[in-house]
Amino acid sequence: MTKSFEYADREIGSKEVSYAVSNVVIGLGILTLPASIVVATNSSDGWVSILLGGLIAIGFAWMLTRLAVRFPKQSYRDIAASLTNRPTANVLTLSFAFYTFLYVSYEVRGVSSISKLYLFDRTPVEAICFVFLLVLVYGVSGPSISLLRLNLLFFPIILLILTAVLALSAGDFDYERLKPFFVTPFPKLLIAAKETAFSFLGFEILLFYNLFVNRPKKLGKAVFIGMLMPTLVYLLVFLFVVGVFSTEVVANTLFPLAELAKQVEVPGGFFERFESVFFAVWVMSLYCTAVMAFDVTLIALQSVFPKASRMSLIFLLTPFVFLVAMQPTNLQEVRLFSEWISYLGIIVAWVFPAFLLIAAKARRVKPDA
Amino acid sequence: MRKWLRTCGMAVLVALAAGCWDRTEIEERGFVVGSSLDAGDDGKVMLTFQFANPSALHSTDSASKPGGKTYSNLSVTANTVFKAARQMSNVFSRSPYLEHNRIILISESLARRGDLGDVLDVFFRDSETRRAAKVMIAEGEARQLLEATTPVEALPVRYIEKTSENPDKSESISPPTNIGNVHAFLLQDTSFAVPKIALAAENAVATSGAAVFNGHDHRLRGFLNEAETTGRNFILGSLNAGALEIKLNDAFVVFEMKHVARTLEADVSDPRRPVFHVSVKADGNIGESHLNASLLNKAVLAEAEKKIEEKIESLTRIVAEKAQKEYRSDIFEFGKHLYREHYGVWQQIKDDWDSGENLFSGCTIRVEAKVRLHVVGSIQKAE
Repeated sequence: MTKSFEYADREIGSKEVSYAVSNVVIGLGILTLPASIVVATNSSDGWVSILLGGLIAIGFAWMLTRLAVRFPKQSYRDIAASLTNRPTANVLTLSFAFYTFLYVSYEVRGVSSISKLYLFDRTPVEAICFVFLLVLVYGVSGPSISLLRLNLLFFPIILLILTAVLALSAGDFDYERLKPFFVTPFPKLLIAAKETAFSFLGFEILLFYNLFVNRPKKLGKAVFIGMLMPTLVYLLVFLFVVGVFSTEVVANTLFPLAELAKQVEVPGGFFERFESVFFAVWVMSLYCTAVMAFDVTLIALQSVFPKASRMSLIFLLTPFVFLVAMQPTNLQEVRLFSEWISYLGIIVAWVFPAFLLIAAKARRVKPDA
Repeated sequence: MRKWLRTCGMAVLVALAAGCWDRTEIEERGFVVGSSLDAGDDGKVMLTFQFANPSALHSTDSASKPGGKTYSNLSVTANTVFKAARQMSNVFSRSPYLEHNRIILISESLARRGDLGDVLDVFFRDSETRRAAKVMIAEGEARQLLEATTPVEALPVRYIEKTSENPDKSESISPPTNIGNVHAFLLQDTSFAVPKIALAAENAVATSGAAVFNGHDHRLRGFLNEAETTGRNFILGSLNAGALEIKLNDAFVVFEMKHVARTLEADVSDPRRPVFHVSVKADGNIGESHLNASLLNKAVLAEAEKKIEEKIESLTRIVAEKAQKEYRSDIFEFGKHLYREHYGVWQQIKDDWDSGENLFSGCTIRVEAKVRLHVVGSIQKAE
């Protein structure tokens, strides 16, 4: 196939994969992660847990990649079908779709709740949620490939603003606040690592975006870079919020990174409310996360029901996304909701595919030509 | 026809969907630039907001026509701070907007009455407030301070803020403490000191000294005067520059500090009686001398350095004595040092540090000062 210009095909290269993985992983978790880790560990030792959690996630990401590389240009359903049988593959894919569907609801709810807290004091959560959902629908109405390329546009901006938040608060950073080191017993670190692993959920989308990957050989490296980014970002954000606020304050702050952005004072007075820039960009990041999860839900459903049209699936799902998102009545329940989804995600999207990889290795299955 | 209907439908949708739920016209906002908290009767709290008057502020810039008053202060008393802020709407035409609140003054009597965390809760909790607002304890009535003006600054709050930001030049001002710092102190249950502010004369404020809070009950224990605050700044290492007066052969000599470094080491061989070694290294110049001898003379210079060292040591001794014996509160962050550097020891004694058995009051604090004079000025003698 000859291309008229570089992006004329419906394929993605390594760069797109790395950006998509980073962008889908960095979402709501980055706001709450430092607080939940600090609560579970002593002093600033949480960074060990972040590293551990990151390693676990990278381990799973590696397995999912190996699985995908074995079956280039195939979706999770086809992979599962060639390793097991059709009904099993359908069940696996549907449970995956159910998980990503819940994931979208949770992201939508999270972005609305936090926007309400910091930005729209009087707007009902339902209204914020509805508007965000409309934009999501607009996004998924187009082809998947355009969403993947949207990452290329958004992710650098997200990184830039995040770096700016950290750099501008460097003045308040006190290395002494990180002391003492290594005072947390190992079991506690492991429990906190579980918390971190949750925040790395999202990269499993590559099981479906495998359809568009043009050079499977390079997929492993691309995913690794994509996972490295969030790990570094989490580590830096954690060390900064602790170094600026001290562990006790972080433990008692719901969204430490948001507070960090609020505390930033840009010299000159023009950007006195830097947090509004931060929130705008953070909503972009969440949009990417949610829109890709939504897209993957659609691809998964279409792979099971090939006859269903994309648009009708969207209009069927959207009301349910809204309804599910509205179920938690307060932040406490939103957290519980996220915990359930995380457990579900780890089983459905990390452990099951890992088993499939083992099966593939054991039976030396190659894709049917 | 269908096309026409569709266009109409879209137009209606656009009209309905566009808009802003949280819209507040900027003219309707009451910009709170500073606030104060006083003790009211029967355990109530009196909240005072200083609202900026943007139009008057603007006209002072042009200086052509004299503007009205640049601010207006409003006080409301209620059981809780939040309720008081809400009640302000009953008596003021604009609703308070706290995003630009820069200082929070708390009166001495309120700080002595109860937990500081309770009256400040709303300032931590509300998402509109910023963590950078500065906290100060007012001697006497806090709201009177919000009336103090100077022709140089347009707003009383600006005047207070600028004055308190001078610690680079003055050794007796406690380092500025913002609401985020206070939150940390309260959560860590460590004792702390925040800058004190007082009405010096009519329409003038004095920001020297510090107010001491115990980490156990978060209540105001008392104040440190200027000399004691200087001593604390030396021990804490929160001092960059300033001036010290000493007497040498019955004549005044002023030591102008240019650079002060502090190192702190704890000897915890006896965990229940830790020894703290504070070493202060101060470099600086002679700012003024009433001596009749040339300071280029080696012996005189050495003598001056020694006197300054003694001065620093005595300043720190006085404040250490006061903190240990009178307030029994660790305002030097020694407990934090133990937590950071001697974690095991700290775990054993943390409950008895400056509460419980109060081991802090029995610990040994050794201060050693080392002074080096560099420049003696451009003359040898004045007379």
